[in-house]
Amino acid sequence: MTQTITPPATGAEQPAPRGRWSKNPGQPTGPRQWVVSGIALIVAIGGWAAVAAWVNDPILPRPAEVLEQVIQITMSGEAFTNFASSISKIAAGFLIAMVGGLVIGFAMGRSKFMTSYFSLPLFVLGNMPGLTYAVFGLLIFGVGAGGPIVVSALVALPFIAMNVAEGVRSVDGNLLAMCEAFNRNRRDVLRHLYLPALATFVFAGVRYGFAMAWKVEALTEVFGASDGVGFMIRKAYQEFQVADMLAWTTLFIITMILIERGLAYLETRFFAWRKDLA
Amino acid sequence: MTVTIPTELPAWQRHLKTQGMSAIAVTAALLSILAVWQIAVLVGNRVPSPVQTVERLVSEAAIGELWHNLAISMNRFVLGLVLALVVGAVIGVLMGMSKLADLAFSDLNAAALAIPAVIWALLTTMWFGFGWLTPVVTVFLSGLPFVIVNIAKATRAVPADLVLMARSFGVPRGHILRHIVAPAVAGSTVAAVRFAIMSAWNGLLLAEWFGSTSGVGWRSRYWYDANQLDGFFAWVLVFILLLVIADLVLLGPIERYATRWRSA
Repeated sequence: MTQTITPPATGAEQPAPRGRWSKNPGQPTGPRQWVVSGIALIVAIGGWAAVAAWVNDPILPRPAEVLEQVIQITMSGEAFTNFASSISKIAAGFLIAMVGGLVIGFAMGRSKFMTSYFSLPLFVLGNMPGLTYAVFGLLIFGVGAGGPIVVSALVALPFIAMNVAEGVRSVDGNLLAMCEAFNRNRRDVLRHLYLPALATFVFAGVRYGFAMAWKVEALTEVFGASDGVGFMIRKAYQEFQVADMLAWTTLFIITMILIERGLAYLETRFFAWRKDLA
Repeated sequence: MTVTIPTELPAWQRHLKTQGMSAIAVTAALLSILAVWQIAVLVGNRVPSPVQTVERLVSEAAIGELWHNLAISMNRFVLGLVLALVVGAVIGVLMGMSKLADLAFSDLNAAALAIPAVIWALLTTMWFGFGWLTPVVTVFLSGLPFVIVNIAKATRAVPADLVLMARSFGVPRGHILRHIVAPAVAGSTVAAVRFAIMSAWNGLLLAEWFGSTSGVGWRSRYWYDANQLDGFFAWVLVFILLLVIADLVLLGPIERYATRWRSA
């Protein structure tokens, strides 16, 4: 079973060798890239506006109405409080996932038996449909912060554990043997050998785990919460306010992409010295 | 990911040894999962026991609800997934071949990747009501961005130089496809299918939970609403088993077959 939960390629990916069959290879120049993707965005929104005008029903609001809602939600401070609430729940969940992931990842990296032992539970955790997580969170923890926190911890755990295991495997065995020969103590080995090797992998795990956990956390809030982005989406659904729901979705997308780009930026900044990974 | 296997032992012995060890480990993992479940039964007051859950599953099968709902859901799932694969493949190949298309679609697709499936499920419920369109469209929309990303990656992986060289040496088209293009794109294509299945399945369950009166998602909601948790757990068991089967029995071997040239 060599399956690793390969994280889906999200937004800010490393620039893969692009369009080899295109006439002019090389990196796209900055302004041109913005122009093309801006035009595509405008065309997409234009298409939406055209369909909305054709349907002419509050069930498919016009882009302008949604924009109005976005501005209103942002101005009233609702956006800030709810996103802050959701993000702090995810952060708390990630702390739990980090501790669990480090322990499990170390065990997996050091022993082949542990790798086989944990592969099935981690596979189930990483691939369980979001619906089951959400309902379990609601059943066990009720309408509170506990459900979303534990759910985001469970969703992120496999990504962090898998990456920690990869990081532990990447530690140079010769260096380890040398440390032993020179009688370095455990702390030094952990501090100078494992930490630098693990940091990049843990960071990648956090990035991908975040992209997954974010969605399932919002879903858990849809099912049962008293605040947070998911709860607001649920509220809009129950009041049949499509414009409201699309506004929250827009804010959700923007926040998620901003956080992901931010994490990707930090990753390249921190680990620029590791050219093979950066 | 490559798993390094020590090379001192002869191949068949090594194979047998790792097989035996991983069989023991997987059994141990299964037993631990059951143990955790049993502990949850004792601690949580409403969690049904494994025996109760399996009994309920058997009775669901006996009254025909299990296969009936599975068949309905699979129908919707396959329809939406095939649509997503076809449309995603077209857009993905375009993105891989033309830089203009790549620039135009990549940001839109990044946004689409960020949308949780529950949004599609709720929106389609409001748009299309309780018909077959709701789950099919949700499956299509939640699978599509993953197909696009991975097919674009696959297209970029085609070694253009080799194809050009083969062509100038007069290699027939079939051979080029079989020996140069197919191995290069296989890995990412399998990944596209895998992610599409995982994401689309999640979307299907949500769409049926919120906006359907038949199918596996609806049936699990039925038990949940009736406050009969053993029924809900029985269906969760089905969902997990389906995923494990899809991954380990179908996609895993296909992926290993498709990428066998890498380890050689």
